[in-house]
Amino acid sequence: MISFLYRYIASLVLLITVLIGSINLEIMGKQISYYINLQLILIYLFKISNPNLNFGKGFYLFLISIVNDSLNGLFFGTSAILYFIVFSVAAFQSSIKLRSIFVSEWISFGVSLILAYSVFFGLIKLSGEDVILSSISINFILTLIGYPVFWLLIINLFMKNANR
Amino acid sequence: MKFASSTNVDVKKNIFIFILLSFILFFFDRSDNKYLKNVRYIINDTIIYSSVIIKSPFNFVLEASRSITNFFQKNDSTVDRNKLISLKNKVESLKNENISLSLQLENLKKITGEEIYKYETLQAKVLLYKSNILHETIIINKGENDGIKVGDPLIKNNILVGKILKTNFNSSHGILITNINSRIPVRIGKQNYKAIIVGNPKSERQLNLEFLPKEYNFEDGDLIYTTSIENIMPDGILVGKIKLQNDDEYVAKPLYDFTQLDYLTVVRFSK
Repeated sequence: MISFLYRYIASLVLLITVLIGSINLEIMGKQISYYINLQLILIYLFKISNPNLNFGKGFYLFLISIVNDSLNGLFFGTSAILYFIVFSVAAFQSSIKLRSIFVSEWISFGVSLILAYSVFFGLIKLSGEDVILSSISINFILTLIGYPVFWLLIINLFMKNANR
Repeated sequence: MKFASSTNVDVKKNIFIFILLSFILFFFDRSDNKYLKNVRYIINDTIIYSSVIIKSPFNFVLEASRSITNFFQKNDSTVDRNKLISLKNKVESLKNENISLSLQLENLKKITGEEIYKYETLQAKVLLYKSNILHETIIINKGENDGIKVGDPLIKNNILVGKILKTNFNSSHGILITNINSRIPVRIGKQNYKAIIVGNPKSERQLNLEFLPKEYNFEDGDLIYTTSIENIMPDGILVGKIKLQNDDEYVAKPLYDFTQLDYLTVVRFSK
């Protein structure tokens, strides 16, 4: 059971954050998911902390993205594109590094976020919807700022025994 | 130091395949293909109802903690308070119905030829409420199987709350009128100025009026209500109120209560 959990823990945690993302826990009248994109932080951190982690060769990541799209009323594939952009940057970062340098990882996370949000903006425009730029900017900034908190949590507590 | 293993090469290949697959799926879904539509309905219904079940223990804990906090904060009996809220809602609903019917009657007098202003309504429970960077989405427990169609108005106490954005077989996504992507044709005040109401990107508790005539003269408290231009919405549903700030400045505010979006009424409005 424990080995099963350890094997699938990243996918399970990611799925739970997507599913319980609609719980009515609000800050200033908005749900937490309005301010911060937990899924992108988790995907990046899980991959960085354990380079062998592949979310079932990407299949589980794809399934979780479909769940997210369905709950948010987005076209299927929208979240998957964002998830795989962040995942690929994390995979690249974890393959070139010799040792873990927090600042360089944080910067590359920022780059992956810029890429992901630019593509997201384009996809939403293609869907014929308007986007409030300030909402995307707030979400981007807080997701970037929130990274160190989750880094502390996952790197130091969760993935202590991961192959680094 | 890590070397390129066969697993890593596999992952790179998979990332590429999944990104490609996601783009294909996105454009396929966007094209509103009828075969994919049915599959999407089934997937959406399954995910939404599974999410409700999984979420229920968390919501229970949250509600329980709120109840306990309320119990210690106030001495009023919770039952009495709930009854009072229910009665207040009823009074509010009747008041708004009265205003809405008067407006419809007034409008009916102006129009030559009679129109039927009675629409079928359906009570729906809000299953999920999601607010993300794009929009605030409401998921209700009624869908195409109950005769709901895209664009049907969502009301609470006879006040417009939003409209249906997407439907599934047994659930539907709705967006609130305060969303920037929600465009609703309205008439304002006694002068019946026509405009399109959209969400205000700067404040979610305010509305913007687009395509308003160049010369308008609002009075404080002027009511905003829907109009049936091009048969997009039924006529005479209350939307909001005009609040004058200075001589030239006004603020359009929605009338519905943001804290009471547990049950909604869907107006089955076939175009």
